[in-house]
Amino acid sequence: MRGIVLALGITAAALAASPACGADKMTLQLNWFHLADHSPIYLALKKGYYQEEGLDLGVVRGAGSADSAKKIDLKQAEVGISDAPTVITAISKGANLRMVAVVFDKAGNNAFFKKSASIRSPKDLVGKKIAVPPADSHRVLWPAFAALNRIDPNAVTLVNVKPEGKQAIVAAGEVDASFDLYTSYAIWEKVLGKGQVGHLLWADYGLPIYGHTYFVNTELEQKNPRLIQRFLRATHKGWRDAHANPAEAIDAMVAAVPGLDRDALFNTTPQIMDLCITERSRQHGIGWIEEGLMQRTIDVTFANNKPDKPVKAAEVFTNAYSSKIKP
Amino acid sequence: MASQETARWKAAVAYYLPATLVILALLVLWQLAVDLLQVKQYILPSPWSALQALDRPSHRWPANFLATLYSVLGAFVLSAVLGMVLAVAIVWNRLLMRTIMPVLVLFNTLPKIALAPLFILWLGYGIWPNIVIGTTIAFFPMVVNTAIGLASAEPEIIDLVRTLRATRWQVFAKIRFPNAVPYIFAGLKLNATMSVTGAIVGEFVASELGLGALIISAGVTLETQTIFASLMLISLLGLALYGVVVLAEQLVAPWAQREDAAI
Repeated sequence: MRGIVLALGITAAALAASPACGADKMTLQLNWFHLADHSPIYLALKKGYYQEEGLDLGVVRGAGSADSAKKIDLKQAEVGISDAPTVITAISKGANLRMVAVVFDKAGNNAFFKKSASIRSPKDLVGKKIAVPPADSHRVLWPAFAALNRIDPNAVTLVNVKPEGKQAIVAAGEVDASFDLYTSYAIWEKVLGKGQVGHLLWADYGLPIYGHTYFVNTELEQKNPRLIQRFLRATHKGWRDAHANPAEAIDAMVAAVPGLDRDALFNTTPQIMDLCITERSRQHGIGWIEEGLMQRTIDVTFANNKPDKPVKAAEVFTNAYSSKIKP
Repeated sequence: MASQETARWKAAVAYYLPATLVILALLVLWQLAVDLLQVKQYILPSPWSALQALDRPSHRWPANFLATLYSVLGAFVLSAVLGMVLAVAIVWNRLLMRTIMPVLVLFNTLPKIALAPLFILWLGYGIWPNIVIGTTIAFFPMVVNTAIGLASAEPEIIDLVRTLRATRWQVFAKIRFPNAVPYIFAGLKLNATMSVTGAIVGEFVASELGLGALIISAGVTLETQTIFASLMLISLLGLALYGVVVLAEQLVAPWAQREDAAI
């Protein structure tokens, strides 16, 4: 009898100790390979925020915003990260998606070039060759950005290049510039040299739109809305703590994901926090979406491409699951 | 003569008809599956909608197709020549075989896509770099097939001509090389398809024009119809090049053809 009670007790203790016991399994589909803006998730994992919410979160490396949009539509993961224009484009093509929080409250679309390249404004890009990695949202937004700055979008030559090669192709002088997120600044400095990097942040030249967002399949909203709420609560706690201590977030991610360059990632955190934590975050909570800015994002996305199906801001996002956690 | 020609064409049609019918059946099945299951076009377009994407002038199909065609042809020719030269070197001299072959195997196992930033630094981007990248992917089967063909000449024949005081060069030119012709054509057939793959890999690494570049830019905007249209053209290119090799084999070495091959 005592043996049976002991065995039952050991079993119960083992089950209680297991982190996955009773937890809801969910997968987060990243938009890209691991970058510094993913570090708050790993900080939240390390601090047990997802566990507190009863979530067993798996994180899957991404292959571009378009790829993560498809995967969420196909229900291969519960939550995805993708830039807003790509999610909007997918929705207009019939994808059942909804954005539930922003990652980048200000889009980080940007051009990098050697400081010696004499590029001071968007008009200086005319006639230039510009490297653009595949699955990159800059391709979607370039026509709108060009139109806002009164440039013919065809006046530049866009050169496809694998993401690992974009710094090399600029450094080699094969192209004049590369479109890349502003948050990669430190990586560009590593290749081109400190003080040798020029950049044009598109948000400073008429393109203040939303950048990356967390989004879900609308079926998940109907079946388990609380799952989304719990995910955002844990994630935004991670963001809050990462904003206070970026080094801790980077260290958490580097410990969990092999092969990352800790210093290069840490050096991009000032730009990331600059884009992600804004007055809107301080006022409404991290990840809050403003309808007017989302409508502007839609207008810019379709400025030069007719959508397959028109979409309105209210259809593409919701703040219903907002954590209201402030930085 | 005319009746012989007609008979050949009838045999050719009979030979290729089953494969053509299977491909057509697969296309019909694909169309029906997309229509009946109401698959979203941006996930899997129907063959018809993919074909319709060829009608969009904004995609600059002729320019993109020609860029890929030049890369494919360049990679095919360069890998064929390089492959045969290396194979001759390997078979000619045992020391060279022991030296070169392991290096070639090592190089062939390296994933070329991982070397992308280095290729860009060394070669830049454009049609010539794509030809080089395509060659690095396509040349190895050419080396192996040609070397096997050269090395597999019957030893008795070689012994016989040596007793007749044939020089090393005569043995190579009159015995080994003719023996290798079927193997060379087998290598060229592999080369034909791998040159296409290799050229597209080159365009994925870095490119301004080409069907591979079009696939990349269409993927960003979820224009999956354009991706599939590009894939169709790439497949046709590979098939056409393969067909050219088969035809060349028939003209150059009809004696090497299998008895049941009509063409």
